[in-house]
Amino acid sequence: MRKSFIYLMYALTLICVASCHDDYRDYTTTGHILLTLPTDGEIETIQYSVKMMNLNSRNTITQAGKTGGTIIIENLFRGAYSINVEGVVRYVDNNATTHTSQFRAQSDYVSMVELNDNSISLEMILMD
Amino acid sequence: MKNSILILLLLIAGCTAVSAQDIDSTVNRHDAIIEHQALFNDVHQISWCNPAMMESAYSHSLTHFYLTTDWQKKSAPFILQKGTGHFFAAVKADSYIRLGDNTAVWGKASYTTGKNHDIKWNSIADYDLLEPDILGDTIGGNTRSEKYVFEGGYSTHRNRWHLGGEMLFRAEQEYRKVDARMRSIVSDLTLRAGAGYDIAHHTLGFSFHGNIYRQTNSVDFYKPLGSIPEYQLMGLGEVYARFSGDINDLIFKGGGIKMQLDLAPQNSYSGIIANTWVAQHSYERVARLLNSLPLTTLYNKEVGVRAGWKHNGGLDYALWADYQFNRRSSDQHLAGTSSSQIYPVIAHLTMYKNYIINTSLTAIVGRKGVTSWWVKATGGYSGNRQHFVFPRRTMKYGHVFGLVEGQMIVSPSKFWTLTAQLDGSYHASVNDHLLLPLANMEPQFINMIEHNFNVLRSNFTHAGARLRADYHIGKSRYSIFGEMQYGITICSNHETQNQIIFSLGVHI
Repeated sequence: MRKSFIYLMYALTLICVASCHDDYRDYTTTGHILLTLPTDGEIETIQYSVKMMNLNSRNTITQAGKTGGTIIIENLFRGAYSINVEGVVRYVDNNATTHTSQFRAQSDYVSMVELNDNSISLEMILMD
Repeated sequence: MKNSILILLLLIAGCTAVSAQDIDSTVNRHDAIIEHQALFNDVHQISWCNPAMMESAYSHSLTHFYLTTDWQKKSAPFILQKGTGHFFAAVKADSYIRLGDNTAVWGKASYTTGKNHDIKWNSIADYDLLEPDILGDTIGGNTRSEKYVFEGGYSTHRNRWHLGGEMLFRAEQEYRKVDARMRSIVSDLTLRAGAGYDIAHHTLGFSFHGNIYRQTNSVDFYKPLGSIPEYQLMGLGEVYARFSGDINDLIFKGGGIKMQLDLAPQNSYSGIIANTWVAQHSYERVARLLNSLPLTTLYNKEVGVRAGWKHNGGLDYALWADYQFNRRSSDQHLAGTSSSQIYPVIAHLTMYKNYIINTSLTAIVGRKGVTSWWVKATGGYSGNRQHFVFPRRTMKYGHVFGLVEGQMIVSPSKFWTLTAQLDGSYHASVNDHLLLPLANMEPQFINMIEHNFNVLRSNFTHAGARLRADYHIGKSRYSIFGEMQYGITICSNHETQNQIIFSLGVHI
């Protein structure tokens, strides 16, 4: 009976250890937003202002800058977001003509929960 | 349910009347009162959570049936979510019966009804268990509650082995009859199994405790135009904004396990007191209106140790140290985009962390006899630290405290046993800190957190008295008793709490 008691204690200790819960501490990630043209052409540069709202907490972040096509947002809190990008794009079309145009790009829902790489593609709406 | 309670009370009465034949003298009844009421029992309170250790807890059977009222009033809420006080009335039965030299059974049954006053930011029951993952609103109000409790245990002793089992069940409902009409229905079941082994005038015990908990909760507004948002609170004023507002139909489901090791000297022996336990419980908040979407899960991990020495002799004394650490944390389950109101969970983040530490040193000395007395003194530190990860919020407060209790039980005649108990304590705040992202918070959340913090970081002074008189009715097995308890707590921000408890009943 003494052995059974010890085995029971071992078994219950294992249950306790196995049921322990670890925290989820990977709070931030990096988001990559690839902006694409609605027509054929090559982007030269984009001046942008991006606004992302965390759908679960309603916290909003904004970032502005210049890019060749991909907006990189570092230290982004992992979660589900809506995205709104506005700015000016300079691009070259197939006829080698350079255009400068205001644009908007948006999405009601994007998932930014992967630990390393969260890449999404948004098509720009040009406001010619 | 009320009928079930009455039937149970009658059953306990019947069993007690049959088995209490040994208590046929007033001397025995006086001894039973001393044994069951003694302040010195605090030495064993943790060991007695192991049902196997209950067989040797008392040598006298004792069963109480009584009515009790509990009135508490604060000048202002100490914690907004707990309100300004309460009034409860209850009928209770509490029994410990020895079945021969080696076996004991015990049980409790009670029905409690009453009212909580001026609760705010809390639309659920069991706030202490489930905070900060609660539902709350700015209106609040009084709530009514009904609670049923059943407990029963069995413990036996064969050779050097002790075995025991115990079941504890609580059913409770709390509701409000005006908007916001919250209603919570709780069922809480705990099962305990324990074993013990006698070794060198000590009993070495091990017990395993399992708990299943469930609370269904809803908030209704009969006047739709007057409805206000119900916030899914997540800690330190943060809310799960996406599902706050009209997601008022929740389930809290959870439970957990606890393991405990005990070493206690056998009755009438001196020796080492040692207890250690680990426990983990979790409670998931599920939104029923969103096809059972889990919103948060609260985890409570606990570890505790007690170590000391108990001396049995002409003068009984004991000295022990307590250490208890709780780590509470809450995971937020991040919902993705919905399809037909079905939301996938796309990730989990541990957003809230709470560390609670209690450590103390206790000494008790006293003597059991015709006039029994004990004096107990405790000194220690209690601290509480809370964080919300993003946006960063922090609250912490700590107190050093001293507590003194004295108890005297006398028998002025063979028909009377009188018990008097006095206690006083002082909690002095030694550290406090509050950090909130004020620019991002709405004013009502700031006010709520700051109100609670201003009380929690205060110095507290408490004084209490308890008087009890037992009258043993001649040669019958019955005694009647009356008890009054008064306590006053004053905190340094000039708020006061008064509490009065009356009890009247019989014991066998």
